[in-house]
Amino acid sequence: MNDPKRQDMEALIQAILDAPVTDPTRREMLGAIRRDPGAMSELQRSVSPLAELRRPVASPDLSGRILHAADRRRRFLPRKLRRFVDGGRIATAAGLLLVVAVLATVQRHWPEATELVAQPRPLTDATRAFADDTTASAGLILSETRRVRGSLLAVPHGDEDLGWSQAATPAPLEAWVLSTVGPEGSRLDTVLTYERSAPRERSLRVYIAPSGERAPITPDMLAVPTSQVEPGVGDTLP
Amino acid sequence: MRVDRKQERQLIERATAGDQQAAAALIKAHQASVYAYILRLSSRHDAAEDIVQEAFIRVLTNLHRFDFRYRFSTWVFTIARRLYLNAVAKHRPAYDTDTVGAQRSLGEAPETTVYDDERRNVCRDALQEALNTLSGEQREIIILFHQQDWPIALIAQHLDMPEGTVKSHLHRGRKRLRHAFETVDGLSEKLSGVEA
Repeated sequence: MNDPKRQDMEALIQAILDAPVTDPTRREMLGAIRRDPGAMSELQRSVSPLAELRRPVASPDLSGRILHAADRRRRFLPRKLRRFVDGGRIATAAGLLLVVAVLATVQRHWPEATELVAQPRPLTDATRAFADDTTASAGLILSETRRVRGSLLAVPHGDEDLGWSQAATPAPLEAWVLSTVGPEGSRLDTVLTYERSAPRERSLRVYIAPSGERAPITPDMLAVPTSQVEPGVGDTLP
Repeated sequence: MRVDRKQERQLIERATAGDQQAAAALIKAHQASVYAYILRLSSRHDAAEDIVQEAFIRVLTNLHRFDFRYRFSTWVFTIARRLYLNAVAKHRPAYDTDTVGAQRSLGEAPETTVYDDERRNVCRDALQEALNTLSGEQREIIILFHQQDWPIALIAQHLDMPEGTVKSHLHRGRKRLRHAFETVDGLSEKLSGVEA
């Protein structure tokens, strides 16, 4: 029965079933289908399970259980209390954010204050080691300066080549560290320049080898002409 | 217990303010329809009870968030449906028409005869069996449309489907249901046995 009449009838049945009970056109459609016994039978067969579906289902009263369970979970709160809970949550969240912000600021400006364990810091360690080495070198230079100063006092009187006055009274010497690290970085070439203020100005260069290997001061070193002495930079030693 | 939208709004407001009686009234107004919906979907009373209970607990604990622009029943149904789908995903329910049939229908007059009782039980079991032959979408759409009287537009919104698809599922589902209902094993024999 795949004829157009059958299809029309099926469409009419579906339209009747789709239409709300209150739809006024439903009555007209029902009137039309009543004239066709076959269509009426089809409609009844379609309605039968749907009518069964509409039959009310006995449902247990779950309200007591539900309210009890909601109460037990302590989440069903009156609006006033809910405000406190919500406010508390917001306050807690704001507090946490504040703590995080303070910690971030402290860590940014005083990183050591927030360290729980010492962190390896290669750059800082290298800088610190370099500073320690420099201090040690400065100490070494100081002691060498004193030694050289003593040796200068022993220079023979009247030695014009060296330009020292016999009558010269040991005057205060000043020393400058020109460099503490050589070009290669591994070798410590310390150059001291002595400048004597009286009676005749003369400058000297003293070379000091690193790691305690002190090069003996030779006359060649002492005989460096003033013109070759470069201006010193660095720490002034007493 | 039926309430109109105005009464429902008052109940929701009172329940949100902590009025337990209003909360109970809200539950009583909607539990039967949600229960019937889940029962027809799951075929199991115990599953339906658990899901309905959990759905209403969630509703009550989130009542302050309810948006009055929407229907309260739609909200409850959506939560219940999600819980049902979660339960199905965890462990597929075994369809048990005997369990559904074990429950008596409402609206049965005290003087209902044994004959009527038995006939209804047979029809109810046959219906559940026929419903179980439908696809999930067809079953749900037929239940929402013919049992819950939801309009097509609302069903489409609830199931996140175009209205045309909903109508298509509805028409095909009805044809299939009619056929399955008529050919349920031994239905006519059972009915004729009852009538005899």
